[in-house]
Amino acid sequence: MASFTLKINNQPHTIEADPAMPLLWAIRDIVGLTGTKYGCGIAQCGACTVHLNGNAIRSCSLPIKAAAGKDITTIEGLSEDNSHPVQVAWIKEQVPQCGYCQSGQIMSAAALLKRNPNPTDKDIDSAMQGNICRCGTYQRIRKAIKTAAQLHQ
Amino acid sequence: MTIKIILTSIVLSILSSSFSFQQKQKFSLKESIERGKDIYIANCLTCHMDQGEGADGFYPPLAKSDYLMADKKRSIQQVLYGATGEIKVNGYDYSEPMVGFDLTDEQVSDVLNYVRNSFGNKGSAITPEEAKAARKK
Repeated sequence: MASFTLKINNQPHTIEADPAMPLLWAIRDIVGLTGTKYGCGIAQCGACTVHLNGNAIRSCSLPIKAAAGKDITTIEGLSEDNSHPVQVAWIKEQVPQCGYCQSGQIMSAAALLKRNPNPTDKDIDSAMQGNICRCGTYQRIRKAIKTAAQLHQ
Repeated sequence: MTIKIILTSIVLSILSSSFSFQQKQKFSLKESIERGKDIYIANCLTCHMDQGEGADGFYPPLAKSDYLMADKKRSIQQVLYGATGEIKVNGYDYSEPMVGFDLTDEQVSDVLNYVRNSFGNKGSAITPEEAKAARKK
């Protein structure tokens, strides 16, 4: 056990935990932010996607030791009032079906738009390929990312 | 007039055919590295991090990595099929398993050209043909 300070959504959280504990465990079970979901546990489905220094990463596979001191943003920290363009677009296009993968999808989409404000279909497919949706909402996800890109401008 | 049109069309067809021939043959390392960046961000960054630094004691660094730069074929196969077991990178042992990725020959070549020419690395190009040849039959 060791002490770590995790900066999640601009709030420092000092926790006692094993250095190898996945960041997702700390986010959900210790800090109590349950918007980020557990899917596969091996970085293959994208449900646990959060931002680490602005990049979309899979929190189930990142040891807290590697996340300490860096800027972590979860779905709860994307905006205070669901006003992030990706959130607005998601509501407008009614993207989710069951919703389980969607916080991961939204975090990946937000990271994509940050580095590429006007992505092509190919850019979207490439950036979003690590996020799996069992309901198959991919068409609406792509549409909403384009809507969000327009809202951004 | 007719001769002029015929001549022009001959010149044009020669030009266009030699141009398309060149496009097919030429592999640009610079363009491959650029394409590789997005593949890296989508697939690799989660463990190897944005500067290729990895995660101390868990995920090996790609930055200035002796292990990465030592063997092209091994790298191609690890991208395609993953890796298990203990490896030594820059003097440290790592044993977290890596999964394989479902990528095309061109994507494998692009992502490896990106990591082999980023984070302080400099390496010769890996072509899609090399990626294809390294696939297990």
